[in-house]
Amino acid sequence: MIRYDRMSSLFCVALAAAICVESIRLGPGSFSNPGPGLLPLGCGLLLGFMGVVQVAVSMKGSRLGQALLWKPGTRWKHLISIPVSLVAYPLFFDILGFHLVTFFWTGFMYGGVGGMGWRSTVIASVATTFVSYLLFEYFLGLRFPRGILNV
Amino acid sequence: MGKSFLCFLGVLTGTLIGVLPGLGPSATISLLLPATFYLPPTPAIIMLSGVYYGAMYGGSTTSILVNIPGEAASVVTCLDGYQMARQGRAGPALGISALGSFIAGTIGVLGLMIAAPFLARFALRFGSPEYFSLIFMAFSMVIYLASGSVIKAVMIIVLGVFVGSIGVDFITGDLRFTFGSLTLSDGVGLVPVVMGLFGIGEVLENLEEETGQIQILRTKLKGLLPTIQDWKDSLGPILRGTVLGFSLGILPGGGAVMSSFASYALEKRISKHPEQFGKGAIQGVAGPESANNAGSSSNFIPLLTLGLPCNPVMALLLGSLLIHGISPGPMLIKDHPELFWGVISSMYIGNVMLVLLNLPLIGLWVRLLSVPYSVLFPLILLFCLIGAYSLNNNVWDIIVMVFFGIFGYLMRKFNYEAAPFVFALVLSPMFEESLRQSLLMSEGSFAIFFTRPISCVLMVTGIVLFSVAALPWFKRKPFRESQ
Repeated sequence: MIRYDRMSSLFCVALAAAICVESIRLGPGSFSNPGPGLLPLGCGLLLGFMGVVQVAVSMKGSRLGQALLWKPGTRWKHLISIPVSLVAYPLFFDILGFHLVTFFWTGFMYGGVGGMGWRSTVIASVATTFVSYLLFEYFLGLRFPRGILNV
Repeated sequence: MGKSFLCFLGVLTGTLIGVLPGLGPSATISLLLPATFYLPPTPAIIMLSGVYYGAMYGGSTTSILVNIPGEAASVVTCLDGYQMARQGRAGPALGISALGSFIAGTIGVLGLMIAAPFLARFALRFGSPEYFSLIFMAFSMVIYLASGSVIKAVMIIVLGVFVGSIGVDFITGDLRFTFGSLTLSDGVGLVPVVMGLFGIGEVLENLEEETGQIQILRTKLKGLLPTIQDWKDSLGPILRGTVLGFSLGILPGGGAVMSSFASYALEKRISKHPEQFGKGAIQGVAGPESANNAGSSSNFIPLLTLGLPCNPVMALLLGSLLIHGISPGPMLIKDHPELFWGVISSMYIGNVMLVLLNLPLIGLWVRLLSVPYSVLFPLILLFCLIGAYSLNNNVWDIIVMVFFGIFGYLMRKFNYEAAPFVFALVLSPMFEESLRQSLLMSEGSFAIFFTRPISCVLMVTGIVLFSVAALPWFKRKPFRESQ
């Protein structure tokens, strides 16, 4: 983990620098009259300090026996497609409406990611959409966009 | 809906998610949280609490029958529970687990009932400096108990405090780190964060590699009621596990996971036959299972008396109370007795329900394990999506959730723990408010934290804990909460 610790620590140091700059712009005030930037500035300084310490510790560590973060055979397709589909879901929410977007989205999950056959995918997607309608709209009374087709 | 029905619904859901690996109580409660907005506060908390302690019961089933912990607190139950099952003693293992959990849960609730009002009266003496010192001590405790590097624990807590400070400054009204976003001006919501870290993060981790179908041990479940000899062997571990679990559950950062590990270590240490542990010793099931249930009861004490959540589940319950307009703290028992006593009563009833659910229906829970993950994960993600959206009918909450989902996944890969982050995120506003008020009171002098007796004791304890954790080459001590 040594190399990966260094990577994550350097990211934290960079983040800490950005936090400090913005905190100073906000105005940390003084100890007797603390401003809105005081706590974030403290966080930034401590985060940066700990990041530097972690980098220093990782420099001294052995490089032997490092584990791979992502092993060969990692399903990158899933790791990328799932977050992308989760972001896409709300983008189509208003246009297609809750039911259609849920149907298509679950279809992609069951078939595209889960590897189900197309018949099972359609059945599972219809069932999931119907159950989510019953649970969230009918029983819990939540209101979702109906989309341009008013479905 | 009646409170008993909601209690039943909560413990049923808790058992279900406890049985199913891959979905813990934190993610489930965050999924259910939006649904409880439509309920009065007492039934809402009763249901969500039921999910938590229900998961403690359900988690042992998969540990014993499949050698996969249903949730983090049941990890140690695998060691001896699965060995018992392989020796044809799955029934007594499940039986002692459920009955031990029942005894510990009931005693734990009794302890909660006695200790909470006492602590609440004591907490009336707390002002801003005391709260600041208390939170500082809590952070030090979390760092002390963290399982990995102490440097990473500090970094993740600092990051949590920073994220908690995003939004409107409560004194000046200035917007901090919002980048013009209206969604962020209200702060970073706890529910999307928890759904992302524990729901989406876990799904991504589970799906990154090919995994086979869960193999359930084919064994006939008979004799669920333990024999007299089993009881003789288990009674001590159950009672010791209860006391230990209850004590550790009160500590910030402590909870069910730490309780179960500590109980297992204790039982092995004092056993006349430690060599039998790991080979099917019933004490190795009875102790940890009792400890995690007692711990799940005592977790409520700091929340209900000080308004201080000691783990992510309690943080979500705190969020739920705040959404319903109730501020937990020393006055909660006096101002909202129906809530406090309602939750206590529901725990007694819930524990009885759980024994009835877990023993006669064990076959049903086992069958649930055959549901493939390819069916489960889209449901988990869909519930996350709908849950995040329904908070404010705002698609940006979904974006925040996805961001923290990826962040949570990367945290797991880089060995950072999610629980301290959530802990710090929740306590951040109280931490900042008490710090700034204390500094205003003292005109900028930090001596205020050492000149008031309660604050001084808490602050010194925090400093000692932090020093003990940090000094030995920045390496860490045992157990840690990761639910």
